[in-house]
Amino acid sequence: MLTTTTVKDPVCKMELDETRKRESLVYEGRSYYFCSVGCRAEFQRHAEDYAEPAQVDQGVKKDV
Amino acid sequence: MCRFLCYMGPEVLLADLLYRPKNSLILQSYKSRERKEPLNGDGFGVGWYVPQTSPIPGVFTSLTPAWNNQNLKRLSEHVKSPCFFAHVRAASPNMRVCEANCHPFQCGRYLWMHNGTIDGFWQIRRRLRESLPDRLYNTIEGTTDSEHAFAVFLNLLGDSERQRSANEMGQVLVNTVTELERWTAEIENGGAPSYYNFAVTDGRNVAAIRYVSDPTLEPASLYFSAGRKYRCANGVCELVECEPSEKAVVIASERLSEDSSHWFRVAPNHLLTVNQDLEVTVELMEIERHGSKVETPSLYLRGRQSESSI
Repeated sequence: MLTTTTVKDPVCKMELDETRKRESLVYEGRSYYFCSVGCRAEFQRHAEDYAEPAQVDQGVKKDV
Repeated sequence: MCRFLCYMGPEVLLADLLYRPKNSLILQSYKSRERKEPLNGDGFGVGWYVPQTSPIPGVFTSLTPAWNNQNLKRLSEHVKSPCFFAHVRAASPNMRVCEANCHPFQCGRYLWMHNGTIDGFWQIRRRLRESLPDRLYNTIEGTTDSEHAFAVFLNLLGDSERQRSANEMGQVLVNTVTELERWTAEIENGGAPSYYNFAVTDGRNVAAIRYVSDPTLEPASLYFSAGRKYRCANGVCELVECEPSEKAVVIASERLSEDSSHWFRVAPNHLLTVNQDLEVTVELMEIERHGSKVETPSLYLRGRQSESSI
């Protein structure tokens, strides 16, 4: 069975398959893919709004 | 450049959106947050639908600044509508400040607003007008690029009496931009970017775009909020959770309130459509550039992978 992996454009939220990943960049060690130059440029202008939060703690949730 | 607002949903008092939000459109008329020049005082306009009365919207425009028009304030406290457009104008250089140039523009059941400029409009104006049939040529009362773009939209739409889906309206809007881009790309000594934040409605569906002809530049701001109700009570306006029947869609040049988690930027060079069921779709605009002399990255080089870091 064929499976298709998609990623989400963090700016327009569109699901991108391989044919729609037109732009990409690396921000804080993580790769991001975009549907267009416009979305990529928007990410560069407002990266803090669109980047995924850093995964600080993958461990067991603790009560505080 | 200007600021505008579109509303679709349950009937709402115009003043609840025009005056009461913390960053209301009236506030934006003299203190816009997301424009370098905060003043939008070259007139204003409101167009609203009352479906029980007519499919054709009422329109009120005035040359006075919106912040200082008592008639707007008095009317908006008594007019309710399930769909309305409002606009505060900052006239572009060489565009006359007169009532005929105030948005929204209306033709039949359609309303149209623009935030931006068509680069080289004066060089393409004759060609644009020549493309229009008499019935549309003669509807142009003002001198703005915005109203001319509306005429191009109506021409591409064809029979404006036939009901269109949001998707169809959106596609015609994209075709309008394609046509404008085709003409402006052929201008001698052209090259400055065009900014097309357009919004159009027939009272049942809305289509809007946030677009700049050079996709590496930032287009004028445009946001939307959907799936929540806009509630104004005790001097506080906020987007709140609600019953499905109370949901509304607001499209605005700037966030009306500071609850930024409920406002989304429209992605650059994307089309936003809202259908009669208030379903929102955002999709990439597929624009072709023919013979452009401007060195801009093509949006449509499929598979391009310019991996880089910021």
